[in-house]
Amino acid sequence: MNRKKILLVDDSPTAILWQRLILEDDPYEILVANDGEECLRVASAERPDLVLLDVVMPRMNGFETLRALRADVTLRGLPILMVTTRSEMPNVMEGFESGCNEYITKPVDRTELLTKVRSYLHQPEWQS
Amino acid sequence: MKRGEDGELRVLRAELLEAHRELSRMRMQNEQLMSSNRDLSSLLTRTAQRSGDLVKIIVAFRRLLEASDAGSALRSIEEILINVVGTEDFAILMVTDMPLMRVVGGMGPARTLSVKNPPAFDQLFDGDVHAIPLHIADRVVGAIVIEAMLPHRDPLNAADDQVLSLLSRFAATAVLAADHRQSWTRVELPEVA
Repeated sequence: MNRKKILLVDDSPTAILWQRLILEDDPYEILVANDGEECLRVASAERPDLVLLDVVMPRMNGFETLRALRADVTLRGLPILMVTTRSEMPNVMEGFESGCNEYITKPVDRTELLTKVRSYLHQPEWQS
Repeated sequence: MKRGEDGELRVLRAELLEAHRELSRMRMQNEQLMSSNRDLSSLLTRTAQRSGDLVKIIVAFRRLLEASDAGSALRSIEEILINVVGTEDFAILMVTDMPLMRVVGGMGPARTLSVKNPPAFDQLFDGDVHAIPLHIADRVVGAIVIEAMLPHRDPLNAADDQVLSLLSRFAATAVLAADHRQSWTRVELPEVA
């Protein structure tokens, strides 16, 4: 059985390690990108099933990356969950307006992350 | 004929009584099942919470140990404070020449304020400021000053206290060790035939 691929995008090794350790509970294949530009390259080459995307990153921030991902017709349906310290309403709105599916705030809660990821990767047939 | 009907009625009543008893037994079993389900669910929630807490501590430990030089050790401490503890308003200070302190890391107003006006070491731990002492063995060599937590963050729990205590005990040592590690020269071992 093919494992679902999750792309973690964050410039912080600590955030990546934390998300990786949480997601290790389920049999996912974890891909990593350290900034927005790398995210676009990896997403295009590896075709992940879901992306966890940080907002504050060097060179290309999370919102710019999100818009670039949504502009690519082949990646348009990809579930993208923003993972960020920014919980203020303008940031949340910008995330949804740019096309994210969910907004998760840091520090990441293990149960919240697993529940949201599972809800996108293991949808029952009637939802697909 | 009547006797026959009475007999059937008695049998039916007996069956009805038995059915009532069975129903009561099933209700009791159902209640027991629901109660053990609730216990199981609460145990599962506690286990998930504990597992999340352990991940926090493992992440903090691993990041402190992985640093290859003093700069990356300081960045690890900052990242732990941002991603694990949940603050973007803090300063990391190290004692330079007692009681003088120097800001070596941090972000937000706490960092800016500490750069402009470094706090006095001897007043740091008895004011309103949330200051975490940084130890090397039994000596305090610095402090982490946290001005504010992220607004959406839950109150600090026992696992957060453990992470802060870990930083207090090992963060300064991690910076020092990483600094030493960088200066080590690799000793080439003789080739074994």
